[in-house]
Amino acid sequence: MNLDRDLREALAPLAGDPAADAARVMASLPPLPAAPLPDGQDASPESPRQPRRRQPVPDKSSGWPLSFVAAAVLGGLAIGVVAGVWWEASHVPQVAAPGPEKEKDGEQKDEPKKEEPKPPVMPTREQDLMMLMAFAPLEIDEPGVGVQQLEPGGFATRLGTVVRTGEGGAGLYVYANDARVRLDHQSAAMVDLDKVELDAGRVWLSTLTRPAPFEIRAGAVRIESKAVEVQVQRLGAEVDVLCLQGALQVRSGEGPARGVEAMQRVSVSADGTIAAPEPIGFAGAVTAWMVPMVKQQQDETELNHRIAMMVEEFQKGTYRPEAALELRRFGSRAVPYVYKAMVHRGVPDDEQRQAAELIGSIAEYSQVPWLFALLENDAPEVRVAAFRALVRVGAPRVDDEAFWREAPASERERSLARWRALVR
Amino acid sequence: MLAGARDAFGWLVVRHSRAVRAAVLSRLGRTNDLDDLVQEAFLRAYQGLSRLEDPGRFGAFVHRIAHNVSIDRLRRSGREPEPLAEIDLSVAPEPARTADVREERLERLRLQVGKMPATLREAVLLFYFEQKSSAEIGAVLAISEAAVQQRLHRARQHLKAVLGEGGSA
Repeated sequence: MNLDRDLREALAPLAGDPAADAARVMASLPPLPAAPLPDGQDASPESPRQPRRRQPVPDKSSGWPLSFVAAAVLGGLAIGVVAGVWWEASHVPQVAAPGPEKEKDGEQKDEPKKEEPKPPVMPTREQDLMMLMAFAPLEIDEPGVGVQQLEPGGFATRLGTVVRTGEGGAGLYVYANDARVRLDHQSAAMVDLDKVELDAGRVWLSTLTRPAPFEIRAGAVRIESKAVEVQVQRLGAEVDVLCLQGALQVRSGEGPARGVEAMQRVSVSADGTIAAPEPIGFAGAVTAWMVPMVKQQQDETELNHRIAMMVEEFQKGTYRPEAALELRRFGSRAVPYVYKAMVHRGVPDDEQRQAAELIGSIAEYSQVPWLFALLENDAPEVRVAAFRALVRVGAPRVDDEAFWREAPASERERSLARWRALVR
Repeated sequence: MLAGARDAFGWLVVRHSRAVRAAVLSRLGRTNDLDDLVQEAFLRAYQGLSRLEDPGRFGAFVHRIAHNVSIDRLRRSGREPEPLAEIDLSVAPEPARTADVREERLERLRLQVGKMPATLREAVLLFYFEQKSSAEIGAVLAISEAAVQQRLHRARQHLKAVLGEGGSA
C-alpha cells in the first residue's frame, strides 16, 4: 500500500471548488459602481401584446469567469513553481494576524473587529508587483527570479518582468499606477512601472485610469503619452501604432516627434520614417484579439462598453458586417443590446432582419424569451430568423419555417403560446 | 484602483481557497456550513487587509483567520475547541462503490485522519489535500520546516499503526 498516494486520493473528495469560493466571496464584497446595460437592456424584451416574464439574468452574478478560474486553479495554484511564489515564500509570519472573538489558551486574538467593509489598501510591497493573467502557457523572465514557465492562471510578478506569450495572450495590471497592458499571442515585451519594451508581436496599453507619463519602445521607435489607450505592433522591421483614445507622440531614433490623436494610426518604416497619421475607420477589427481577455475580466465595464460600441456601429451601418463579426465574438452577452437597439418599429424591416439573424447566431438556450419576442415581430424574415435560432439552440420545435413566415397573426399567437408553455 | 484591488483579491481567493478549506476542515470536519465558513474567512481577510503589512504573508494571514473562524463556529455551537477532538472527514461512497475494497480503505484513512490530534491533522491536510510543500506549510502554521516534517512523519506512523501496516504511533 502506498500511504502517500492513498492519502491524497482519500482527501481529494473533500476539495471544494475554488472558483465557486471566489465567486461567492467576490459577490459579497463591497460593490463596484454598477455597469448596467444602458436603458434597462438587461430586462426581457417587452411584448407589445402580452405581459412577459423577465429574462433570467445571465449567469454571471459575480463576473467571475469560472472556466478561467478553473484554469487558474489548475495552473495558478501550483504555488511553489510559479512567479507569484516569491512574495509568499517567506517563513514564520510576523504579521499581526486576526484572532477569534475571545481569547483562550493562547489562541490568536488579533483578528480585526467586524466593521463595515471598506476598500482594501494595497500593501506597500504590492506597489512593486503586477498581476499577470496568462490565458495560455507562457514564459516569463522575472527580475531576481529568472525564467519560468507558467500555466494559464493569475500570478503576481515583479515590475520589469519580460513576458513571452505562446498560443494565447496575457494581461498585466500594474498595481502602482493602474496601468493595464495586454499582450497578443506570440508576443514578447518587458513591462515596467512606466515603460513597455516590445520585442515582438503586439501590445495594448491603457493609462487612462490614472494618467502618468508612459513610454512604449519598439526597437528605435518610442511612443510617449500621458493618458492614452494605444496599441503597438511590430511587423518585421516596421512598427504600427494605433491611438485608440487620448493622444501620443511617436519618435524614431533622434528624429522629430509626430503627434497622433485618438482614432489615428501611424506606421514607422524600417528606415525610421514616420508616415502621416491616418484615421482608423473601425476600431473593433483591430482590437478583436483582446475580446477573450475582456470577456474574462472581473470588472464588466469594459465589456459592456465595447458591446455598446459595436452595436452602435452595427446601427450606423457603415461597418455593419464588421460590427456583426465583432458582436459574434462577444457571444450571447450582446443579445439584449442588439435587440434593444435594432428590433422595434422605428427600424426598417431589412435592418431588423439583419439584427434578428445576428441575435439568432449568438443566442443561447437561456435566451429563448428574446427569440420568442422576435417571433412576434411583424416582419416575416425576422420571425424566420427567430424560428431558425430556436431550432438551433435546441428548443422543441413548434410548426415549421413556412408557418412562421406566412401564418396569420392569430394562428401564430396560439402557436407561440403553446411553444412558450413547452419550454416553461 | 478599486477594481484592480478586487480583481487581485479574487485571485487570492482562488489561490488560497484550498488552504482555507483545509484549515476549517482540520478543526470542524465536514460541516454543512463549510462553504459559508470559507467565505467568512475571506471576508474577514478582506476587511483586515489594511492590517496586513506584508502581502507575502497573505497565506498565513488568511489561514489564521480561517482557524479563528472555525473556533468561533465551535463556540457558537456551544463546543469548545479541543486539540484532540475527533472530526468527521468521511465521504459517503457512491452506492456502486460501497463494496469496493479500495474505497473502503480510503474511507478508513479519512476516518483516521479525522481522529488525529488537530496539529497533525492540519499538517496532513495541508500536505496531502492542499499539496503545499513543507516550507509553505511552515510559513502558514508559523513553525519550522523541520517541525512540519516531524508532524507529517508522526501522522504517517500513526496511520500505519492504526491501519495495521506496521510502524508505531
